[in-house]
Amino acid sequence: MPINSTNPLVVGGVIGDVLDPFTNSVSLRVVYENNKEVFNSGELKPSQIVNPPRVQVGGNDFRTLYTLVMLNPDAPSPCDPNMGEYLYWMVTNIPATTGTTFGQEIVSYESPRPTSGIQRVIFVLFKQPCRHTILAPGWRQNFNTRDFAEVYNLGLPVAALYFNCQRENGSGGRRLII
Amino acid sequence: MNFKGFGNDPGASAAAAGGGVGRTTPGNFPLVRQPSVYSLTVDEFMNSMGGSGKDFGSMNMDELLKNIWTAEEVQTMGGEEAINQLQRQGSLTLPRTLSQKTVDEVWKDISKDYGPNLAALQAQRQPTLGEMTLEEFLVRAGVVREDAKPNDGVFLGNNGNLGLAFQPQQMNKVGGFMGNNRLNGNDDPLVVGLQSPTNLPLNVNGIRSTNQQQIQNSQSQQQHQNQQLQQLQQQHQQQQQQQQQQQQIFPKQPGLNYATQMPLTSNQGMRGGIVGLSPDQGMNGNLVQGGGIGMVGLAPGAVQIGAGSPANQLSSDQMGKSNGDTSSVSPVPYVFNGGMRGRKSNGAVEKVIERRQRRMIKNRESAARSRARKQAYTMELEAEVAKLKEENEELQKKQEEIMEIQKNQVKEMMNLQREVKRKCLRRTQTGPW
Repeated sequence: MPINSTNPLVVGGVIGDVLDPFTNSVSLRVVYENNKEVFNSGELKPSQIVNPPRVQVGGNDFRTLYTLVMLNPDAPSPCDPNMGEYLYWMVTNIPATTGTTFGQEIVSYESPRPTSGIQRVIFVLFKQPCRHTILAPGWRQNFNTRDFAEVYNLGLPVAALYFNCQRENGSGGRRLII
Repeated sequence: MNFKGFGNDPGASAAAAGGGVGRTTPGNFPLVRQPSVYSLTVDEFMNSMGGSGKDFGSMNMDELLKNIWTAEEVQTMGGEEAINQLQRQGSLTLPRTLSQKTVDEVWKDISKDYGPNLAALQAQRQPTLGEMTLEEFLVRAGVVREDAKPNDGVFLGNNGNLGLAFQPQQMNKVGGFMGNNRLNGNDDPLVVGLQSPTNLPLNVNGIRSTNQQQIQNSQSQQQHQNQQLQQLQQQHQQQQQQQQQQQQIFPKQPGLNYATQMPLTSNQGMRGGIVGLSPDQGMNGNLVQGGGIGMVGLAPGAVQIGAGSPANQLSSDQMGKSNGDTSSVSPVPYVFNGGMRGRKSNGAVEKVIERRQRRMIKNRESAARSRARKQAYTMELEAEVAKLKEENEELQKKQEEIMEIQKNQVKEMMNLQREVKRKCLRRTQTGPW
């Protein structure tokens, strides 16, 4: 599987742990302040991602609406992710070619602050079949993207992006509690 | 005829075997209801092989065996298919070292051993090579090999099981049985053969006594020979008493067992029985191989070459097991280390070990994640680079095009201007005023 194995999403485990294999059909750009753009498997510090980023959604038809979900599958620790996926942000009804500012923020942005290990933060973009009123889940943890997509009939993602995030001072060294 | 004697009259055959001296009957080889070739004296056999008798002394052991096979086949199959079957069935195979020897050499070795070992044997023993039955020759060869070269001996020892049947006292019987075996495939010729005296050269007997276990192992892999093997085992049990003497041999033999692995694996043609037996290191000290081989040899039709590989696998399995279950799980070595450090108390040590294991596993996973991360990053960068390069190219092209267009536009503009000027300024004629 040459193609799959050169896809950073696959190699990084995003496709597999969180998402099913899909084809990237819509462009997605996420840029934090100071022009820190999110590249797959890139590294961003918690201090750089305090505020919600600028999101640029592709497509060509204003009438097509998208849903963006930001989550972390490695919470609370990558070696023991017992909290399921942690939901940081959810914005729906984003028109094509625009950004999150034009959509509805269902779950407000929370700045990731990993405490243990190097954790992945994933942006997933779904294409909505129609204008939805998506209900916010009762809590942020134990989110399941696959189930979510199924419930709201979102199908496979159309775009995904992820970066790595760890404690401000790094994850090396021994700590009392793991 | 030795073989005739075997088939019909064990008692008489003993005498016949013993009295092989005067009995070379060259032309009597093909027998309708005949027992195995092995009961023939070497001379007879050689003669029957059609003129090769003269040269057999210097014949290679390999050739000797081949001839034996051919002879077997001829007997049982009427000769037509002998060659085909011979190819299919590697009934007896020799260790590499042995096969390269000539018959003469082997005989010499046998003779050396003959005296001391057979001191207690009956006078029926045949001192000359020519008068010895094939079986005995092989036995001797096997026996001798064992003593002289443990590596090869075992294998021959197996052949020697054929010899078992031909123990000094009952060689004829065995021959008869073997012959019957082949013909009928049901009798216990081996049983009888196994009952052969214990006076045989040490190794052979020793081999025999341990047959049971190994036989069982190889049996599972040998269908046709199972019956025979079982019979063999029964006989072994009955003869445990007799074999007490040979127990002393065992110390030597374990080494042989290991050694036999070599010949076995190297000889594809080996019969299952032979192969199956030797690799069983788990059954060390069991020269059952001999018994199994003997049986195999007796029943050429029951060749189970395939058994060889399973047997080998079996041994490798056994080895694997004996090596401890080291799967890819690395914590295992930790366990061993912890265990070997002495125990403060069982619980504490185990906890420590467990913690270590857990930590190691975690580290491994973390390392794997790191690698995945790094690789994903690299791929992303490469993809990005490729994309950017493409974009760059496109943009440059566009720019060139635009430049071109601009240039053209400027030119056209200039041309137009010139033309306009010309039109304005030119006069073709002056008016006549």
